[in-house]
Amino acid sequence: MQQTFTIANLLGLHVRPAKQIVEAAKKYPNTQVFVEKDGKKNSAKSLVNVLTLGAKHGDAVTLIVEGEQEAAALAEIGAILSANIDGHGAKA
Amino acid sequence: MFGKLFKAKKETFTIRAPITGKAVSLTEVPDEAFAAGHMGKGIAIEPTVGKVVAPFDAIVAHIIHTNHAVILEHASGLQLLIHVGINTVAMKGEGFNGLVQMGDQVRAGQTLIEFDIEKIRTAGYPLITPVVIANEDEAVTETEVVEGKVTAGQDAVIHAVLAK
Repeated sequence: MQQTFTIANLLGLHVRPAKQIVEAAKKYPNTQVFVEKDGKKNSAKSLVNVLTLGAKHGDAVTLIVEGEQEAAALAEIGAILSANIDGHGAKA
Repeated sequence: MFGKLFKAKKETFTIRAPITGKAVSLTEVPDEAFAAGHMGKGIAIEPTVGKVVAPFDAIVAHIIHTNHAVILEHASGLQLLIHVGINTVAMKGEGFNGLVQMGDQVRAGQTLIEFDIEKIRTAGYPLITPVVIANEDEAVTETEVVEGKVTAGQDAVIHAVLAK
C-alpha cells in the first residue's frame, strides 16, 4: 500500500527528521518501506537513502510499504513525513 | 576495553578526527537525538578550527545542500555522519562552504567543508559537532571512543569493530 504526503517541516527532510523516519521504518523488520519523490524510490531504512531524496518543505513524498503491519507502518512513518518537527522555534 | 576489541580477531577500523578541537562524549551534545545515541554511536568535537576533513578514503554518500553535514561511505560500507553544529540547518548554508559533491571520491585528509566558527557562534548555534556512524546496525558490532584534544586527520576518535 502507498500514500503520498506533503513535507510539512519548514526545513525539509534534514538529518534529524530523516533519522526519525529510518528508526520508525526499522521497527518493521518484515516490511519493506520505501520513500519516493520525482521517480526516485529509496529504502526508508537507510539514512543516506532518505536524505538523498532531498525532500524540501512542500514537496510530495510517496510512502510505499509492503509486508507485515503495512497499515501501522504507513500511519507511523506518514505522521513523521507530515509533521512540522522543527516547530515554531525553527528560524526558517 | 581495547584489549578486548583487538582480541576479537575481527577487523578494527580506526576513525581519525575529522575536525581539530576537543573530542567529548555525545552526551554533551545539546540535542536529545544525538545525546541519547539515536543518531548513531560516536563522539562529538568542539571545533577550534573551522574545517572538516575526510578521516579516511571514502565516497561522499551525501552532503546536505546547506553544507552543514556530510555522510562519508568507506569501502567496508561504514557510513559516517559529520554534522557541524546543532540546529545549524536553520542557517541555510550561511557560514558553510562545501568543497565536495555527492558521489565524489575523497582521500583521507581532504577538506570537505569549511565553516565560519564566529558566524555560527554569533548566530547563536552550538558548534559542537557530532561524528556518528550512520548505519551502525549494519556496519559495526562494537565501538570505542577516545576523548580529549584532537588534531584533524591525526588523532583517533572512534575504534569500530566492523561487522563484516
